[in-house]
Amino acid sequence: MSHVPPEVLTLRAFDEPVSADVRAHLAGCEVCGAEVATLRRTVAVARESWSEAPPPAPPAALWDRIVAGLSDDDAAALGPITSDPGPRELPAPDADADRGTPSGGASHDAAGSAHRAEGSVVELRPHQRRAWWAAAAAVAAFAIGGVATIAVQQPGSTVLASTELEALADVEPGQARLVETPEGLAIEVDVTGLPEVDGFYELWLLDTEVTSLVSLGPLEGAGPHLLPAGLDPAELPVVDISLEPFDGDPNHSGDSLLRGVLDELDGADRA
Amino acid sequence: MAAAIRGSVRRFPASPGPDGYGSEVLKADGPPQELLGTVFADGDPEVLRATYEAWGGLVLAYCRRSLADQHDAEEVTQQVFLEAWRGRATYDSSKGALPTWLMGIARNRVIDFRRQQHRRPTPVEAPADTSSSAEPELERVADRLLVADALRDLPEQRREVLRLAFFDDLTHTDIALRLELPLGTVKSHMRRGLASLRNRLGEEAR
Repeated sequence: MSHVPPEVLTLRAFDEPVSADVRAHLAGCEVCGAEVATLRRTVAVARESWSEAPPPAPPAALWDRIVAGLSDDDAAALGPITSDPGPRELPAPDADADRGTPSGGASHDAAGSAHRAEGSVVELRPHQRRAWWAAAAAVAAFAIGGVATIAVQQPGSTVLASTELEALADVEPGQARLVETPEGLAIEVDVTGLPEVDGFYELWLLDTEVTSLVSLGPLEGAGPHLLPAGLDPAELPVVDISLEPFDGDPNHSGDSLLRGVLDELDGADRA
Repeated sequence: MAAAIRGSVRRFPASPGPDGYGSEVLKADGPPQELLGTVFADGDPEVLRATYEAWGGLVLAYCRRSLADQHDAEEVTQQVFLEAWRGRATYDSSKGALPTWLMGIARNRVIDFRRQQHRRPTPVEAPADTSSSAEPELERVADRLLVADALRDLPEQRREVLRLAFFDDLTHTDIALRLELPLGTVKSHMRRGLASLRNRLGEEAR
């Protein structure tokens, strides 16, 4: 028979039963046999790794020492030295209690620690000052097929940043994502249960000082709501949804219902 | 216009606290950490900063475990990032993950550091030279930390599928029933999840 499909090799690495044909092939084929052996080693390491606590955030002072070792040009390009945002607290140990995780003995404990690990990684998530990801996104546009871990929201769209939209009024919180689509950068929004109103909902990008803003137009479901070409979302990282009356005034009504700051775009301001 | 918005800020004070950023959402969609490798060799120092913020803690934790002294660990971590930056042109993202490459540098720096330590005048009861006998252990620690990092990067559902396969000894059929997912989805999660973890392992383990 021809080589064993990857999914069957994976099942074999988990010691699931496979057909006699597959077993015979694996016994005789170096390529497939080596693949299963590697996957088994991966399974073994992963079982050990599950309970690893996430490492603490790297100290800002150490980064400053690294910068001191860079060339003058590189160091200058990085601008002034950052201040240490300090450690943040881990989420409560029972933070995963309501996630519908099937429970059971030691494995549940393992899962619990992994959830905690995840939480802290998110909270210590790095924030960069400049949009290096714009260059990276251009690379990703053609590399996407090969990089399995890039989150793909829709065919052809790559998530560059995301945020929880906090409810500023009596509405359900939501989420927003900055995505790279074939047509350009866009915002996708997940909000549910916005009440029917006498007026309409409008999507905006603001700067963190809330002094400048750009309208992305009326909220049309999830979107994508395209950004005007050339707009740098790092300058306007705040996603805002407002309630606008039908008054013919194109300005923001001042009535913001939901707001969130795109992660990875606003580090300098929140640190 | 801006004043009107400020007014709304006053009415609804809105600075998202640490809990305002939903971990599931962030993790599932993820910032483009994986993209760092694709631009690392380009020479933008901001990429080095983002790399340090993404994996500096990982490298430091590895050095800390291997050297047992925080000061030494920080010194070696500094060396690792400077060496990575100087050698960035030699990094090829198609050959391996960036954190794995960093950990390879870290392993060599740790070994060098230990050797230098042993060349210094030492007290009579100095421990025997452990640098060569401990190398397989160094590899193991690196793999554990790298795979743990990759596990945290997995989408929630994929990680849950792997957890059931790793620890509950469920077959893919059992998992599909338990999570009410199509069989094909479960098999795909298992294959892609395991491939993500394997992609982080050092060369020797692959």
